[in-house]
Amino acid sequence: MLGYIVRRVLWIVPVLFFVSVITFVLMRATPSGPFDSFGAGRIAAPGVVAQLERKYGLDKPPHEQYLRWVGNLLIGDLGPSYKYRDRTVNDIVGDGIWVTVHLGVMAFALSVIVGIPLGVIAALRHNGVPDYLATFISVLGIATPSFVLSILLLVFFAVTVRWFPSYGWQTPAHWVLPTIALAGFPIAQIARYTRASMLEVTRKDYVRTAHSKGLKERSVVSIHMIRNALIPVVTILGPIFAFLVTGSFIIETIFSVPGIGRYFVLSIAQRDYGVIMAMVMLFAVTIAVMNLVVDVLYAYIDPRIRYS
Amino acid sequence: MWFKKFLGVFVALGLVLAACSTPGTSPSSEASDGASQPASEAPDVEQVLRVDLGGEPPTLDPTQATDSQSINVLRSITRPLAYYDENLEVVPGLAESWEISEDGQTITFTLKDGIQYSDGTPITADDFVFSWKRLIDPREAAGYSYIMADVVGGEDLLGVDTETATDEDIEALLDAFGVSAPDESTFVVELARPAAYFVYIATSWTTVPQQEGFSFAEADGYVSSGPMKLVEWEHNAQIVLEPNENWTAGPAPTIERIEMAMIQDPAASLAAYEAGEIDIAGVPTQEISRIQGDPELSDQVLQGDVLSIYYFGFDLKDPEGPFTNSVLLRQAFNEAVDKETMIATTFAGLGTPANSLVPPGMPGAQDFELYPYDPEKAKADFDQALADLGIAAGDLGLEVGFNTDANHEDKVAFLQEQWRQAFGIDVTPVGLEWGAYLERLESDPFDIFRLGWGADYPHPNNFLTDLISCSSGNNNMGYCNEEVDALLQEAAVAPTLEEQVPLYNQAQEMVMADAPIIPLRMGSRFTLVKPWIQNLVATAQDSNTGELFYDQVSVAAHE
Repeated sequence: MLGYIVRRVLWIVPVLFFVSVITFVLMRATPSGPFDSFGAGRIAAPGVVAQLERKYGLDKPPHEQYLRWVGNLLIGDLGPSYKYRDRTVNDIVGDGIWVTVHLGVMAFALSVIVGIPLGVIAALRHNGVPDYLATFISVLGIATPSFVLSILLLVFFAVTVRWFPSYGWQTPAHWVLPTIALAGFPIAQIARYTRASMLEVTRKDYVRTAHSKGLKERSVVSIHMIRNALIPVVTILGPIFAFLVTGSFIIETIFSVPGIGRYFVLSIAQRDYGVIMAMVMLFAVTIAVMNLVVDVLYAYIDPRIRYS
Repeated sequence: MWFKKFLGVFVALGLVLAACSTPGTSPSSEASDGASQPASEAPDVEQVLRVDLGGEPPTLDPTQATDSQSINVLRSITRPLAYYDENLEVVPGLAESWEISEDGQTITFTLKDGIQYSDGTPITADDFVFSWKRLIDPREAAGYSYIMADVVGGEDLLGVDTETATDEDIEALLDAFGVSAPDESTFVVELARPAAYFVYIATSWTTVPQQEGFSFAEADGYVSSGPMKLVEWEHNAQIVLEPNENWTAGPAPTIERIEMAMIQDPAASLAAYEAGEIDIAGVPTQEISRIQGDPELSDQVLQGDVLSIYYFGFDLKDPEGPFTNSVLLRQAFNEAVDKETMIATTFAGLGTPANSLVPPGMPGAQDFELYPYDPEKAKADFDQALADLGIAAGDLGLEVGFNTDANHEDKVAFLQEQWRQAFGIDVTPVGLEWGAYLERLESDPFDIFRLGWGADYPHPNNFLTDLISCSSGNNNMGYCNEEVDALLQEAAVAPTLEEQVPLYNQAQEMVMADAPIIPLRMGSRFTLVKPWIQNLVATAQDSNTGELFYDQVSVAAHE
C-alpha cells in the first residue's frame, strides 16, 4: 500500500510538468500581454510596454522564462503579479486560498450531508413520492447554473427579506449564501449518484440474503446497502472536492468573497501570467491529490480492492 | 464575461420579483425623512460613508495608478499641488499659489505652510521633485509618464531605450529634468515649451508628494498626504479611511470613516445598495428602466455628465484604404447614423449625442453638428465617394471591430443596420477579447473600430492634443492634420483659458470636418445615492460619483 502511494505521488510530478508546459505555451500564444492596456480600456504607449516587459524579464526567450519560473517555483516563489504591482503571486494566493478552501469545505460538507441522504431516501422509496420529490430537487439542482441560483439567493435572502448580507466574508452570516449557492450543484450530483447506486445494490444477492436471514431493515440498509452503494459515489466526491476547494469564479464574484477562485478567470483576462500559472498548478495538484485519496479510500470501503 | 449577459437578465428578473413581492418594505422606505431635510447634519449619527470601489485597487502607489479603483482611493488619501472645486475649476491643493512666468515656461508653486503627512513628517518641495522624477523615470515604466512630456528633459526621458541605457545615463537625464526645489516651500517646473494647461497636470493623482522609501502595498505603513488616511486594507474585501489628523491644507473632513467595498459585479453592487449595505451605487444599463419606474428608487437617482466619449474610428493608416482616400466616404458614414435613436435603444437613453470631441462639462465643449442624421444625403455622398474612388459598393468588404465582454454588440449591430439601410452594404462585425483586440488595432486595424476616451484632467488639451494630434500614441486612427496640430500648439501657449478655448474650438471644427471618427455619445452617470448622504458633490471628472470630495460628505439621521 505504501509503495503504491509513493509511486502514485511520484507520478504526479510528470503530470504537473506537462500541465505547466501546456499552460505556459497556451498562455503565451494568446495575443497581447499584461501591459498592453491600462486603466479603463486605455492603450499603453509602446515604450512603456517595452520597459515593463524588460523589467519583468518578458523580453527573454520563452524557454528561458519557463525555466526561470520552474526554478522560482522550486524555492516557493510564484513570482510577481503584473496586475497588482505591489504584490506577489504568493501574497495573492496566500490571502485568498484559505477563504476559498473554507468556503469549499463548507459547501462540500453541505453537499454530502444533504446529497447522500437525499439519494438514499429516493432509492428506498423508489417510485414513491419521496423519490419523485428528491429526483425533482436534483434535476433542478443540475439544471440550474450557479449564477442563477446565486442571484436568486442574493435577491431573496439579502435584498427582500434581508436575513443575510449580500457581500463580503467577515462573519458567519456572510458565509451562508455563498455556501448554499456553491453546494447546489454537487448536492444534486451526489443525490443522483447515490440513488442510482443504491438501486443497483438493492437487487444484489447479498442484500436478499441479508433480508432473508432476518436482519432488520435498518441494518440491511446501513451495513449492507449504503456501504456498498457509496463506492461509486466516492469516485465523484474526489473531483467534486477538488472543484469546490479551488473556488468558483461566479460565486466569489457575485458574493464578493475574497478568495482565489475569481482569479481563475480574471488572471487570464488580465494576462497576469504568474497568477494564471499558480492557479492552474494549484488546481492540478488538488485534482491529482484528490484522485489519489479516492483510490486509497476505495481500499478501505471495498475489501475486494487491494493495491500492491 | 460570458455569464454577464445572462446575469443582468436574471438580476433584473430577480429584483423585479423582489420588488413586487414586498411592496411596503422596499429597502429605501425608511430613508425618506432624511431627504426632506437637506443639510440637517445630526451630530449623533455615525458619520460613515459606505461606497463600492468595484474591485480591488491594483495599486495605491500614485505613480503607478492608472485605473478607477486606485484613483478613487487616492483622491481621498493624497493631494496634489492643485485640486478642483466643485465646478472643476483649478484651485490650490497643497500649493498655496503658483506663478507662471512671462514666457509661459516656468511655473513656480509655493507650498502651504506647515503641511504634513499623516505620520507627522513635513511635506516639502523636495517631495514633489522626488515624485515627479519618479513618474518619468523609465525604470518605473509608469503608464502616465507621458503627462510629463512638456517639462524640460521630459521627451529625452520618455525616449530612453532601457535596453541600452545604463543607470548612470538615466540618472544624468533625471538630473537634467526640469523640476527643482530652491527652498522647502518652493517647487519650480521648467517647461520645454509654453503649456498653459500644465497647471492641470499638477492636479493629477500621479503628481502628489512622496518620499523615498514610502511603501504602498499595505495599510500598515502607508503615508497619506490627503484629508483622509488609509487605516485598513483587507485585500479583495474592503478599504477603510479615516480623517488624517495632520491635514491642514484644506477644510477638515466632516466624514469620520469611509468604508470602501470591492464588489466586482455591478449587478451585485446594486443589490448591496438595495439591501442597504452601501450608500452609493452605479446602475447597470439593463436596470435603468426598472429604477426609473420605481417610486422610491427613482427619487435617489443622481444624474450628470461624465467627461468621456464613445466613438468609432476609421482606419487612416492603410494607404490603400477607402477611408484614407475619401473624406466624403467618412462623412457619409457619419451622416447615416441616428445617434439619438442609438442612445435611446442601446444606452437606455443615457448620455448625449456626440458631434465633436470635447465633452460637455469641459471648457471648450461646443454645440455644433456637421453631420446631422440624413440617410438620403449619406447615400448620395456614399455613391459620389465610391465613384471618385472607382470602387463598387460590393467590393468594400468593411470590417467593424469591437471588443467583446463589454456590451458593445448591440451598438455594433445598430450601426451595421444603419449602414445597411442607408447604403445597402453589409459590414462585417468582428468581436475580439480585449487583449486580442488591441493587438489587431496595432498590427492590422479594422476599417472601423470602437474606442472610448475618458478625461485625465478637465481641459480640452486632454481630448484634442492627447487624442488626435499627429504624434499622439492614442490616435489609433492615424489621423494627422498639421494645421490642427499648429492650432493646438498655439492654444498651448495662450496664457488664459479664454484665449485658449477659441483656438481649441477652431482645431476641433477642423478635425470634425475631416471626420476621422464617428463620435457617438458623451458620457453620463446614473447613480443611486441614499437620501441621508448629504453634501455629496459629483463632478464630471469623477469615475465613481463624488470621489473628489468624499471627505466633505455628512450623514443625516436615518433608520
